[in-house]
Parts: sequence; structure tokens; C-alpha cells
Amino acid sequence: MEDVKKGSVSDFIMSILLLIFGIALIISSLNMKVFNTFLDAPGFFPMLLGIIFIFLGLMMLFSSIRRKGPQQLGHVFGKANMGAFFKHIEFKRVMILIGLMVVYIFGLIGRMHFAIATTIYLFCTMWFLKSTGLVKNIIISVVASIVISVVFRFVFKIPLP
Amino acid sequence: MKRTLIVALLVLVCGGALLFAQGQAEGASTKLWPRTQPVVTVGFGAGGGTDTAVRPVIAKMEEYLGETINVVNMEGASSAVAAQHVLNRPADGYSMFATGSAPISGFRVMGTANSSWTDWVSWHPFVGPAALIVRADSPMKTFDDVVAYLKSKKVNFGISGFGVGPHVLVEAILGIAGVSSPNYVTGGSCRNAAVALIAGDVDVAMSTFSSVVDFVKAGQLRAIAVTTPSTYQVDETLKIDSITAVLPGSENIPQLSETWPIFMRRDVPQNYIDKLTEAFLWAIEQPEIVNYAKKQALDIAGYYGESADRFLSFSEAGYAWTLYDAGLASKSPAEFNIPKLSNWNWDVEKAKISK
Amino acid sequence: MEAIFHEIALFGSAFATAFTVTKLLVVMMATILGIIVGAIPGLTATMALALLINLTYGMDLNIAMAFLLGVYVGAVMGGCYSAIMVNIPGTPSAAATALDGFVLAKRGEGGLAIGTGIVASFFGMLMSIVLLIFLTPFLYKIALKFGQWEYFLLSVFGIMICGNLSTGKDPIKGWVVGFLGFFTAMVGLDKIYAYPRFTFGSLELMGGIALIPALIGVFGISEILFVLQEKIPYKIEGNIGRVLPTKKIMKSIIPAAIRSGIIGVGIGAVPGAGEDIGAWVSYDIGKRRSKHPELFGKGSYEGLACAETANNAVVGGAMIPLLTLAIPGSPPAAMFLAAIWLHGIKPGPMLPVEQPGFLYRVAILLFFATVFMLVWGLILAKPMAKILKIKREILMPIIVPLTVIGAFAGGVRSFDIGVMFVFGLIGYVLRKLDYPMAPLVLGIILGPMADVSFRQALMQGQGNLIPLLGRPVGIVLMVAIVFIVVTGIKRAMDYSKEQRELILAQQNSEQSDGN
Repeated sequence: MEDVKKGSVSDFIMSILLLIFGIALIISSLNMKVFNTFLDAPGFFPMLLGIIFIFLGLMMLFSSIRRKGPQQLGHVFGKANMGAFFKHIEFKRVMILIGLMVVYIFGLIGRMHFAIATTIYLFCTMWFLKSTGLVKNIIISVVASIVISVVFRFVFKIPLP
Repeated sequence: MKRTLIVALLVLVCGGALLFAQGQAEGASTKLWPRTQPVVTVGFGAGGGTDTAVRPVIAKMEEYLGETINVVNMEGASSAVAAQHVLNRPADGYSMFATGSAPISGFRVMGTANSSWTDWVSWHPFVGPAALIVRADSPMKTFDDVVAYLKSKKVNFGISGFGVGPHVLVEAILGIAGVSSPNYVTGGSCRNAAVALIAGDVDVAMSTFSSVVDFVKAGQLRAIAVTTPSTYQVDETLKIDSITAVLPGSENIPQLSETWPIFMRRDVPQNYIDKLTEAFLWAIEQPEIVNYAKKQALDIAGYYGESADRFLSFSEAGYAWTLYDAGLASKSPAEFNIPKLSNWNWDVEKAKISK
Repeated sequence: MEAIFHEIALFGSAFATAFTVTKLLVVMMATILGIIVGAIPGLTATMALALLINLTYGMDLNIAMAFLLGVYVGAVMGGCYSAIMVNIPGTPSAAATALDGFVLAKRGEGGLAIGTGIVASFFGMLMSIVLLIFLTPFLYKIALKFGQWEYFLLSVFGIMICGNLSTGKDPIKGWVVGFLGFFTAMVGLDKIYAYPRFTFGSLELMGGIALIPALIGVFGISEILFVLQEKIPYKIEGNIGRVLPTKKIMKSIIPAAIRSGIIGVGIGAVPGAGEDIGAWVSYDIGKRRSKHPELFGKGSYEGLACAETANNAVVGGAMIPLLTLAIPGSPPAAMFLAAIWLHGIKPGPMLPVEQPGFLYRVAILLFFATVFMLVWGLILAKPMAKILKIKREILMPIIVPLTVIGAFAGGVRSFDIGVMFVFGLIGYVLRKLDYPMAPLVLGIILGPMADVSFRQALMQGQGNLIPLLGRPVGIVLMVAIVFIVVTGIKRAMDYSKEQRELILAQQNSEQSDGN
């Protein structure tokens, strides 16, 4: 039941976003330079997309109102529900996983050798996920990083980041 | 079972690590690019005219230098995207750029990239004339027929894109012939423009000759004129008029034919420029390259150093003003101090190289 | 009559050129390499061929062709392993395969699903080779009927179908995502006038958002997050078991495979369309024509076969415009064209004169690659499935560095790794809200084609739409699009109604609880 409610609320929010996005698209595309005629100008296709988004947004809005989306807003975004959402174990897990990726992609890669960065990332991630025991974790991280680096660098001849 | 697996894996890893370390160590020796492999960023798609003109030469240069050169394609905005990308990289000799002589001459006036020939050293392996083409069953047989037809109404005219070689050549030719601009239909590539012509979507097209020579030989298309200085002999039976012979006053047109140079930032260490020039001069003499040029209906250009700068400077004068006069440029060439072809003087232009 | 004998003689000599131990070995190795590349999430057929262009330049022409075609065929098929076992399509063309394949794998029928996928691919390849040999002269005339206007319609058609199919009940969600893909493709310098759109002054964005990083993020990173968010991720149950499809499965997929093969070749023959659209169109038609459309998306072998047959049939189809007009029918075919071009081969009208029997050589090499694909695909099926079956907590983190490499390799710029990551997050959020991912990727693939060809069509009509409306192929496509829009909207309405009733029923029960 909770899913149905959430669905109608997320559709409601999405439809509003789509309407705003569609209007923004149309405005910005009308501001683009026209070289020959408007029909082959750079802004023409984005404008069409804007119209399509408004149309799809209206369809969604209509459908979510029928499903009482706006009335559920209070419930879904109520204090109790939001609190539960942020404390939810799933949310925390995903945030940590994303955090690890951010550190790996924007922090480690490029500053040290790819294989080393990968080893660190794999070890931390698998440690967090409690994938296996400590020793096995180290072995898997090291082996996987080196195998990947060697295979791509020397077999496929792909430059590593 | 499990233990053997682990042992096997460990052996594999040690082996791999050794190989890796060796590979890294080997790099430090006498290579021109010891740190990593250099990258040539081609400003057009894989398999396009620029791509196929550049790759064989790069491959030969690799052979001469004994090193791997990566070629990647970065499409967009007549290669301005790739140019900006390479300019944003450090001037350490690891990044090269490839495009046509036409696009780079249009960057500044089209407002796509604030860069011109003065920022780059270049090596030009090939030069390719462009051809004015019609369908083989078309009633237009001579250049004058085409001019008359273009004057009669707004004709659908096929080109690969705005601001590239064939487009500027058409503008220049029509300017001399006193015809206003036709209704251009861009095809994305010269080949697509020719196919649109065969399919009847356009009535006349201008295209790099090498991309359509087979259609002409097969009798599907007729070439009315080519932008070579003299008559072009395709094979024993097929001769095509030079534009200079059919249009009085068009003597400068052949000098605007396109080349597909390889570029490097002018501020890279000199040893890269010297070494690459050596490799380039060797490569364009190899029989594979000579035969390739013949097959593709290209000519070997071989410009480098000052001859390359001179050629690009002249091109820029021709292209920038033609684009501007046709109303396609967003900025005036005068803003950048680009002379008109009639005022062009190499001694003046040479001084613009800032180094 | 004489002409026929001449052709047979050409075929014979082409066969003799191709049938040597070296070439067979090269094709075999290349096919295996292709299968592996296709199976690794993040590496696609297009990328593999682009990277191999330089390598094959130094080879003899026939060897180079054997090599490239082997990789091409292998990679398009190889995408089905990871699509089925991990729900990450190794190549975008396998996105439709994942719909049914992953459900089957979760159910413990992964082996059979892979086997069926391989047999279906084999079938698609065979059909496309036969059609390539016999129908090239006719199909190429049809390709000429496709002007800019038709390309535009085809790309819209592809998005509408994909959006319609990849969402469970609400096609609107699929369409929203598909058009967001179109929008993504608009970012960067416009392809006609080089005008910067939605770049916000950023130089990196001027280069546009590259397809491969976005694809890897949307399919790879989002799936990784989606699986690992659970404290105890799903497990692929049971043994791999049988791989070869049973008689019953074979019987159920044959009509679908024949139909899909023809569709695949047809789509392949259209320049620029490619494996991805081929799979989706065939899946759509398959679902409409099937006796059990309700099973599509819930583990249908027939659906799996539709997608896999068609995406491989495109390979042969794509060779038709490539060999006759030198215009590639799909992105990997464009790489193949570039590679043979560098060898001095110029496909086009002069090809039969300059290189007699070239078409047959391509067909025969494709055939060898196809046979090796079948044999090695089945041999590798069990070990591959076993590798891909290991604990998600270990497999998924290891895929992350692969996605990084895949994103980086295409353009060698670190910006692309960031693009991949951001698209991964977008993909994850959208998936949490029940939006499908496949239309987003297809939108990015088709967006440039839709934009440029629409505007070019209008240039051709000199700013007038009317002459375009009369083009016959265009009319067919327009009717098809309208049909999909109408049925899709109807489905969306039904869905909305159904949900409304659920909510009303719930409110009633809440009220009665309150009393």
C-alpha cells in the first residue's frame, strides 16, 4: 500500500518538475541564435523536446491527481516518514557506497597508480560489505586490481587513467 | 583444491606484477614519449575523411619512431571541441590534434574556438581537391549549365556541413560567378551528401573528390569541375575540367583546397617537433602512403614548418572572409586582423606567430 | 545464366581465400576475444573495434578483416552473458535481452537462458548472412529511400517503442526517460552550426556527453548500487545446469527467431540505426505477435530469442549499406569501414569491379565467426556463468574499476569518468522511482540523429513540412508511431485507473477502521 502512495506522490513531484523543465527548455531554446530560418536553428529541437516534456508532465499530473497524489504529500513528507527514510539502513548503506566511489574516482585515481587505487577501493568496499574474511579480502583486492591493470594495459592495450 | 587455486592465483599475480614493472621500467629508456602513450585527437568521426587521411600517416610515423600513438575521435562543432580539448592539455608533447585546414581556418570567425594556425605547428600529408557534382542523368553537363540552373531558382545544394572545405569553396566559386547562395542541405559527411544526390534529395553537390571518385567512375555521378590548378586525369578515359578553366577569375580557388594536417601546440619542447618532422618526411615517401593517396584521389602535400604556416595563413584569409561574406560567421575577420586574400602578404602574416 | 556461373566462381574463389588455417585461427581467436570483450560490463563492440583499427592496419587485409569481423560478431553476442547473469548489459544492444534473461537467471535458469541466447544469436547471424548474399542489390535500393526525414522518424519510433516496452505498466515513465536521453544528447556544440547548447560555458560540456560513459554509468553503477543497497543481496540460486536449449524451448522460439532475423537485417540495412533499435523493434513486434505476450519481461524464452536474434542479425544487415554505399549501418560497422578503408578498400559502386567477390569474402568470414561464436559461446557459457554467479558482494565491487576503465578508454579524458559516475547516480534515483534505464541510453544514441536529421529534412524542404509528409516510407513510420502513442496512452490511462482504485479501496478501509 505504501508503494502505491509513494508512486502517486513521486509522479506528482515529477510532473511538476517536468513542467518546469519543459518551460525552461522552451525559453532557453527561443533564446538561441537563429542562423537561417528557425526551422533549422539550434534551438528548434530543444523547443520540441520542451513541448513534449510539458505534454508528458501534464499527463502525469492528471494521472497523479486522479490517484490523490497531492493529498498524500503531507503523509509522505511528514516528519515521521522523512525521519524514518533518512535513518533507514538502506539509505545509509547507499550513501556510504557512493562515498567510497567518490573517494575512489575523484580522490584516488590520477593521484596514484591505478592498481593501487583499485586495491584500496576494493578492500574498503568489501570490508564495509563484510563480503568475506579479512585475509581473503586482501587477496581478492590485490589479485583483482593487478589482473585488471595488467590485462587492460598489456593485453587490450588500453591506457589506464 | 582451494589451496591450489590460491597458489595458482598468487603465481599469476607475481608474474603479472613483474611484467608490469618491466613494462614501466622499459619506458624510461630512449623513448620520445617515456611517460605514457601520446594521443592524437581527431576532430571528426572514425572512418570520416579526416580520420582516414590521418591514420595511415600516423601508423607509418609509429613505425619510424617505434612507439605507439593512440588515435581517438572526438566529434563536434567542426572539430572545435577537439581543438579546445587539446589546447587545455599541458604543452608536454603528449597531445596532438587533427582536423581539416578548412575547419581550423574558421574557428575564430565562427566563434567555436579561439584558436588559429598561429597556435599550432602542423604537418600536412595530403591535399584533396573538391568537385562540383550532379547526377549522371542530369541535364546539366557543363559548369555554365549549373550556374544557369542555380540562378533559375533556390536549388537544394548538398554539402557535408557549414564552414568546411566544400562549403567555403562553393561560396567562393558562386561569389566569382555572381550567383547568390543556394539552399544548402548538410549531410554530415561528403559521402552522405553524395548519397543524397544519388537519392534525388538534392540536385547539385560539392564534395571532396576523394569521397565520391568511385561514384563518378561507376557512372552514377558526373563531376562538372574540380578545384585543381589544371585538368584532372582520373584514369585513361576520364578527364575533369579544372575550375580555373571554366570560371574566369578563379585562379585562387585551388589554393583553398583542403588538407588534413596533424597539429601540435607551438609551445611544446622543440625535440618533439624535430622528431615528428623527421618521422613525417619519412612516412610520406613510403610506397604504401603514395599508393594510398593515388587510390583515394588525393595528392601528397608534404607541408611542414614554414610552408605549412604559410598555407594555413592563406587558407584562413580565404575561409574567414568567405564565411563572413556569406553571413555565416558570428564575428568579423577584421576583429582578428585577418587580411582579405587580395591583401594577403606572407611577410606580414609571419610576424603573427607568437613564440 | 552466365552471370550466375560467374558469381558462383567468385564465391568459390572467395571461399578458397578465406578457408586457410591461419584465417580460421584468427577468426576463432578474434571471436573469443570479442565474446570476452562483450561480456565485460563497460566494454562495447564499438569501442573494441575502434581500439583495434590501428592494430589491424599493420596486418594483411584478409587477416585484418577476419580479425575485425570475429570481434564484431563475438562482442555483439557476448553482451548477453552479463545481461543475463548480472543484469548489466555488456553492450547497449543487449539491454532488451536483460529484460527476460535476468529474470530467468534469478529463477535458476541462467544456463538455459544463455544457451538460448547463443543459439538465437547464431540463428540471427545465419539469416543475416544468407540475406546479405542474396538480397544486397535489392535492400540497398531500400536504403536509398531513407532520407533525413525517415531517419528522424525512425529514431522517434525507436524511443517510443523502447519506452513502451521497458516499463512495466506506465509507458509515460519510459517516454519521459527516453526524451531525457534526447535532451542529454543536445548538450554540447550543435552538429550543424556549432552553436553551444546547455553548456553553461563549460569547455568539457561543449564536447557533449559521450555515449559510452553515460551508458556504463546508467547500466553499471546504478545496478551495483541497486544490488548492494540490500543488506543481503539476491543470490543466483541452483547450479548452472543445462546450457543447450531443450526441444520445447527450440520449438517455441523458431517462429520468433525467423521473424526477428528478418527485422534485424532490415534495420541493419538502414544506415545508422544499429543493433540497439533492432533488438527493441523485434522485441516489440515479437510481443504483439506472441501467443504468450504476458510472459514477456517475466522470463520468456521467446522474448529473449527476439532480442538476441535481432541484434545479431543487424550485423549482417549493417554490411549491406556499408558495402554498397560505404555508409555504415551501425556504429561498430563504421569502425569496420574505417579499418578496411585504411587498407585501400573503398566500398561502394566500384567495389565489385575493383575487388570482385569482396561481398562473398565478408559473408564467408562472417559465417566462420558465427560458427565459432556458437561453439565457443556454448563452451564458455558454463565457466562464464560460474564467474558471474559469485557472491554479489564480491562481484559488484570488482565491476567498479572495470566501469572506470571503460569510461576512460574511449576518449582518454577523466571528465568521462565523472560523467559515468553522475549518470550512475541519476540512474539509481530514477530506478528507485520505477523508471526504466534502457530508454535513457537509447535516447542518447538516437538523440543526435533525431535532432540533425529533422533539421536537415526541413532544410531540404526549404522550411516546408508538406513535401516531406508524402514520402512513402515516412508515412509507414508515422502510422507506426501514432499507433504506439495511442496504445501507450491507453495503457497509461488503464494503469492510472487501476492505481486509483487501489488507493480508494485503501482509503475506504482506513475510514472503516477509524469507525
